[in-house]
Amino acid sequence: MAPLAQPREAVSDPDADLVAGTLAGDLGAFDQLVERHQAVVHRIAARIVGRDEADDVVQETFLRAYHRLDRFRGESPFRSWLLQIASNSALNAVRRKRPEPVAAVTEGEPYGAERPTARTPVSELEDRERRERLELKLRELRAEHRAVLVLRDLEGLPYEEIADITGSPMGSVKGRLHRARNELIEIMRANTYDWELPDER
Amino acid sequence: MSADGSPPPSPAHHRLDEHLELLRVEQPPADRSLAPRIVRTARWQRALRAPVQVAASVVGAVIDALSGLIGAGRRGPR
Repeated sequence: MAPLAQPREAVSDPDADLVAGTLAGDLGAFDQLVERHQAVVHRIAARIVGRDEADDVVQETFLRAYHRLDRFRGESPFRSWLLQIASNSALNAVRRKRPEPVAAVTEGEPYGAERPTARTPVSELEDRERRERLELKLRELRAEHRAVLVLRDLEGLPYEEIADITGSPMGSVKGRLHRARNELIEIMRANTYDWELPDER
Repeated sequence: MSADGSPPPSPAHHRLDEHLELLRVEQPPADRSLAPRIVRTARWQRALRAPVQVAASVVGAVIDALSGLIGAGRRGPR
């Protein structure tokens, strides 16, 4: 594998040493990169494609990153570069997928939910059911909108990093996020059980 | 949701944020065996990479040579 090109901001990137180690053939360094970033990649993948396919997206993300690491120039932090691959992999997975049977899920029977047990506190159970319904609603958003909303409103990433990840100007990111939020509000308003807010229109 | 110079969030946006908070506090569980599996796959893919590249180069060279011979044959002695 090619030696690490001198990254412009390698000093400020906490992953620079591990990236250099991986490029030098040290799989232990790559292992540490996976351990360090697996959680955030998994969260983003699960929110975009759903939990069932998240593991596949995570694996694809890290393997792509591994094989393309010699193309990483360090112009942005390694994490942003990795999340760009993750976001693209998740969006590709969404495009490959057939439409999800969202409408078939009823409010009383959230998908994949365990049956309530006598020991489960009611509020905890309600939260879990609301969360599962919300995840399904989230997946009704257009994929590009979903990705930006996940990166900003769930992961709390700064706009600059989201612009890096999506390869879009910051103004486009903000516009897309605004549309994504409005779209999700409209989707959720259709479910008055969850929304519980008087219609403002 | 609006520390970015955009207009102040509407009540609907506030409500949406409350809903999203449910997702923020809950982390989808990651498979603990995934990281070792990724590293194992990277290891064997790396091991295969060099031989595959060599094989591809050899096949490419053979095709080039055959194309050259066939071309030369067609142009052959008149």
